[in-house]
Amino acid sequence: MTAGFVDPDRSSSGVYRFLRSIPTWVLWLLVLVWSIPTVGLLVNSVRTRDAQRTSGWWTAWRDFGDFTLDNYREVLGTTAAGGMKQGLTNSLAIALPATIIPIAFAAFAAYAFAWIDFKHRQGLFIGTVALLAVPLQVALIPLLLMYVNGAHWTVPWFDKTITIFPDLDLAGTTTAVWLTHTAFAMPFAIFLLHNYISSLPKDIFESARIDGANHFKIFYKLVLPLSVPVLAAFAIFQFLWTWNDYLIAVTMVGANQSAAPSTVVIAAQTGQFGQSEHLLTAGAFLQSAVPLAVFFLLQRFFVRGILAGSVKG
Amino acid sequence: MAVAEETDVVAAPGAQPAAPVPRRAPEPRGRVITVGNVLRLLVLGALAAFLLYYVGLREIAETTVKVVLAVALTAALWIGANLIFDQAYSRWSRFNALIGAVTGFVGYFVAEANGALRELYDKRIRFAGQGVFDDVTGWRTSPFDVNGLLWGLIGGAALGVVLFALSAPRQQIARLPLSIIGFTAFGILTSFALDESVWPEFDWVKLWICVAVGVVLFFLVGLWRYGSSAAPLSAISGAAVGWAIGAWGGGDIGAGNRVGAIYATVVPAVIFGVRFGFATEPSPTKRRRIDQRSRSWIFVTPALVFIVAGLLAPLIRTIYLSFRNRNGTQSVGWDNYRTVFTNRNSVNLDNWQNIFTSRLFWVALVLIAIGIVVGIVLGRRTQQSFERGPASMGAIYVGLFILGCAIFSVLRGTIMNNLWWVVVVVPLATAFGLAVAVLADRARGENAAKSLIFLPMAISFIGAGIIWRFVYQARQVPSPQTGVLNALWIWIGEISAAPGKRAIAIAVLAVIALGLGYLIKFGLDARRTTTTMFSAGFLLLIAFVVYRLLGPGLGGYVETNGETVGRPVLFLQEAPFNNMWLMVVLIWVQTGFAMVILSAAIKAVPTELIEAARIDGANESQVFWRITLPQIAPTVGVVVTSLFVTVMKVFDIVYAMTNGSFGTQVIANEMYQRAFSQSNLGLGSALAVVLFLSVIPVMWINIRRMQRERV
Repeated sequence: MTAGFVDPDRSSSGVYRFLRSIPTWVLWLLVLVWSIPTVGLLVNSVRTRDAQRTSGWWTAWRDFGDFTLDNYREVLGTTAAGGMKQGLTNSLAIALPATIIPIAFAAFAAYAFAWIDFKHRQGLFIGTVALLAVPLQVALIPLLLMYVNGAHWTVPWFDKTITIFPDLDLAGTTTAVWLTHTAFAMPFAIFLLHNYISSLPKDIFESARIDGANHFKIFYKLVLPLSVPVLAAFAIFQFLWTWNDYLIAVTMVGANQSAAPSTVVIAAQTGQFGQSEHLLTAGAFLQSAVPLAVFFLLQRFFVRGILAGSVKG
Repeated sequence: MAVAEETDVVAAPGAQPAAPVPRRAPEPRGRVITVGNVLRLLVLGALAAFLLYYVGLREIAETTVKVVLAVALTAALWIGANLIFDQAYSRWSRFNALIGAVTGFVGYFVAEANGALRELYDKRIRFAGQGVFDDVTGWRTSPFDVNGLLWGLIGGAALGVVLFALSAPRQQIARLPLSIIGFTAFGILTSFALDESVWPEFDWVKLWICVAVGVVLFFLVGLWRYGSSAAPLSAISGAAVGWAIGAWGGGDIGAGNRVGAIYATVVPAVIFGVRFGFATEPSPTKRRRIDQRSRSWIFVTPALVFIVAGLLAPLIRTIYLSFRNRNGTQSVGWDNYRTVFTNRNSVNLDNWQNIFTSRLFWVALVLIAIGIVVGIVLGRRTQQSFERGPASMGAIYVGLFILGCAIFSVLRGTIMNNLWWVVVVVPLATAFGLAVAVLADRARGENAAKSLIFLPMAISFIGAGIIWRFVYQARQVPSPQTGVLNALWIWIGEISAAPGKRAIAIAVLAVIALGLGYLIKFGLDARRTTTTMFSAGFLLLIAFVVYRLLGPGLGGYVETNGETVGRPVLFLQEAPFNNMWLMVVLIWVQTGFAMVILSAAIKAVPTELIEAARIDGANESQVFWRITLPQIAPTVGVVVTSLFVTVMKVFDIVYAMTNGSFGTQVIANEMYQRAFSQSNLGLGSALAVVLFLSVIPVMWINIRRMQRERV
């Protein structure tokens, strides 16, 4: 029962049966092509430097003596700033707060947009959704300037300078990175959670109001427990996104290697593609290990997040 | 593989077409202990063990504590705000006292932090003992200046008491003196708290202007918002606010004497006292409204603060900076934009006439012509001027695609590259995603296939770039190729160079060609234009390969002195088509995205429609082209717009693979280089604004879609 270009009905001759199986063959051919790059990286990461340089990974089965864990040992062994160990720690320090804090704030806002009646609700919500497509490049330069110097405004006529955002020495820290992620995640998070929270049945809110519950109580007694699936979906999505992000991290961390997350670490290694490329395989795989594990464990939620973010939108 | 088999990944959308559908009953819980769950637990355990062992307990604990602290602090603030406003309706006095206390505390604390209040206690205090805490955690807790805390407590207590006294139920006549006395006392306290260094000297002209403006402004706003009865009260508040701003903003801070300080604090306090003295006790309805209104702002404000501070304000500042020079110190008008659009590196149309000598261009034209002819011929059969079937439209689309590649391989530059990315990645990722979604639909091993296609989505763009650098790797000839593509290419070259192998290859191709010929005949007999067209297309491709094998040769090799030597392709260096090899990486990643969404849409197509078409005698291919595809067209639109945004801002892949050299520069990478490597903020901002402008149509589409849905 595969859909394809070939008629499956009427005849059951050998030719037809062959033709009918073509779509499946094409599918698995595509899957094979799609998997080759990743498999190649994985195989190469457990081969010696010489083996990687002198033969293709697809010939690895010929000589099992070439397999080794030395690459991983060497990559994991570097504990210096800018090494993989520091990188993984920093990635965690960025991805955890950048996942948890936007969820909380976005859940508040999504609930308000969905169930609290207030002025300018529509306008604010549409404005938030409009920001979904904004490329984050447009905010990078001012944000970096703000982390470096703080934000100050000299009031005209009075000629006094007000500090809007103090200089907290944030430039080059993981805090700057996750603060930025939090801001950029807001529109998508609000949009996603709003889609879900606004479709909760109206009756439960009405009966809760009749029982005398206020918004605060309704939010944490009813809405939070009911929204666990969508909160999980967004959490996975956001975790993968922040773990895998490079642009924000490299901009905000800058030259401070001790705050560089894993993506910045492996990107710095590509600079020396020639000499240490045998380590790059192991490094790239380690960097991907966490998102891949999360992906396999919680794929259902991840898919749900993507779907809710686009199909309904 | 086992993991992929077990996770019912992409099956979830099948069961739940529109993702989270809360009305539906929760999925029935199956057995808890399955192979999949055990595997998941094992993977999770291994990951946790690895992180604990390798990253280290202390680092993880430290990170966790920081996160917990940040979250707890936010939660405490938010819940606190909710609890305070919970009192507004039923316990008005307590509500007022709390509001006063919090305002006083925050006000005094902030003032002290800015060095505006005098020293009460000049020693710094270490919390949690002398270094015991530090030894355990390894963090250095800096000694804490309690001055601000003390002042905060004093200010909070004072304002809290004043507001509490004021809000207790009493005769309206007693309100005015009480209010004036209370606020005056608070003003005097503040004037004594002020440090000598901030005593202001007044600029009386500015002060009176401020007061006047404040009165008029507040009066008008009060008139507009609350009606004529409330306007005079508003005007009094305006006077107080105007006085405070005029005194502190207009004056010369630090040059004044104690009298100045008293004037600057006590006068506004007294005016506020008058204003609150005239106010009446709010009715229960009004208090209910305070409760309601405040709630919406408590819920929305945290998110709005981040959106405004992290997105909107920076966006506006970027636009402003794009009209200024490299440090933002001087205005340069439109110069940055002129550089972006007229620079030869951005848009280079010099070689436009080369397009007519490009083979791709003519192939594309022929394909489009074939498509049009087929459409017209088929249209005659169905009494339409043009039949928009898969055969005609397929040929036209492929033709347009090749045409785009031909054009953009000749017109060079950063902006042209970005357009080329859009033209290639968006349709191909959508097409591959659609193909996988259709082919895998109800096929055996559907979930495994889908999750393998989907897997690159979990890998970072940087990681993907590195992975593909290994695929594209080229080595100096005597050593064997270690990149898959070059190995394949040279292998084909070896076949092409050796007559024996070449004969075998041609024989194999001939067999396939025979099969295709049979299909064409079958298609012509059965009037299956689609089958005929696709087979003919493949046949042409095979004919081309055979021609290359027999004639000029195929694959990476050169003959020198009768010896065959491999010649690898430098995929990332050979312009202009190295751009397309970079695009392949993004297609590889984004196909999974397109597939997931389109697959869900396909599964949501009503079965009745498909059944009805089948009963009417439609075959599988007709069902797809005539029923399924039109049904999922809106979803295809969503996929295309999302991909468009992703492609426009592509950065990491180019950065990791070529960093924009060899003619592969794109806008986002150039923006990064200009702004952060060369510190040219003006030009970097202009490039960012160009990116922003390019996605405005998508923003507009999103808004329209939202509005349609909410009607």
